[in-house]
Amino acid sequence: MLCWIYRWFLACCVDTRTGLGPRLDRHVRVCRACRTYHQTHLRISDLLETQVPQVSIEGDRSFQDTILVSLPVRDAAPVSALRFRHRSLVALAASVFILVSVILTARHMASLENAKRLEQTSALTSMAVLPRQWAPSQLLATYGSLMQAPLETEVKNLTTDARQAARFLVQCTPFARADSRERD
Amino acid sequence: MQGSKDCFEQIVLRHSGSLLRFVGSSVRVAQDAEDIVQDVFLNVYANMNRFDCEGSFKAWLYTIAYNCKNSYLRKKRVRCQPLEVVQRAQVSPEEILTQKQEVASVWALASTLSASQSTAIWLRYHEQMDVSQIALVMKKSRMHVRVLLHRARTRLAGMMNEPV
Repeated sequence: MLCWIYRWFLACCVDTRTGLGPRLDRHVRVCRACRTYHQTHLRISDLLETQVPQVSIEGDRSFQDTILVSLPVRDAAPVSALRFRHRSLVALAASVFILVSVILTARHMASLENAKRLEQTSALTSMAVLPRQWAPSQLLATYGSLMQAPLETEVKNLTTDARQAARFLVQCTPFARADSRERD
Repeated sequence: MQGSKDCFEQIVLRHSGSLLRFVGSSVRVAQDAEDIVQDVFLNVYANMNRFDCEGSFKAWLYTIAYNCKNSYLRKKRVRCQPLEVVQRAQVSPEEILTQKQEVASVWALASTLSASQSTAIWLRYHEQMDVSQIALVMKKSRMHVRVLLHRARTRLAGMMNEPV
């Protein structure tokens, strides 16, 4: 049932000219079809390796001379030198890139530091310039008056709240308020 | 390899014969095969600086040859398509086998395989390349090359009436 898998591995063994593993060997001994398959592929491989192909055209000296004559006059640049130049250029470009990026990063960090310092300074100065009612002398006076007459302040606040509530209710009523001049 | 003409001459001496055979296996006209090989060496000479020294020079050389051969065959197919179709329709692999029975070798049968199969077979058994090198030359995956080799051998076995 799994012969097609074994055959694939057998073909790979023929390609690479390696011996069969123990598992493949066991299967080939048991399965006749796979054994035939393996032997046929080995035979074809052997034939291909041993029989020299009969091709009429052969490379001869005159043909090689023709090739060499047809080459351009300019000598090709030596491979190793070109490769070395190429590599050194890449290394140079990489180092320049790293240097530039380091400089740019340092500048950016410095500007960030400056900005942070400026922010801190402005916050400190704004804290120094407090509103007038927050002046220590004013705050102390307010605190003192509140402590002296706590009920008076409370009553004053309650009166204000009640007045505002009444005004709100009047605004919510559907009819208009009578004008005092008309009533008179 | 200094890249000079003297060194290049050594390359030409060493590889021109095998390249001619490789190209000649697909291109039947000797003059055309020689032109292609000449073109291959010109390309190699011009692009020597592109060669990756860590890779296999033979594989690189055969990659260029394979590309040149394919572009030649493509041009030829465009120009002579009707003639080739007629030839293919008239001559089947079995007929070739019967015609050349006395001189038939497995390579003669291999030449009747598809272009990619015969190239894979050629590179594997004639140039002694391994599967990864063939994959590099033919710009295919190793698995694809394995499949090509497997199918080619199976077809050859069928042509030779071998039990598969």
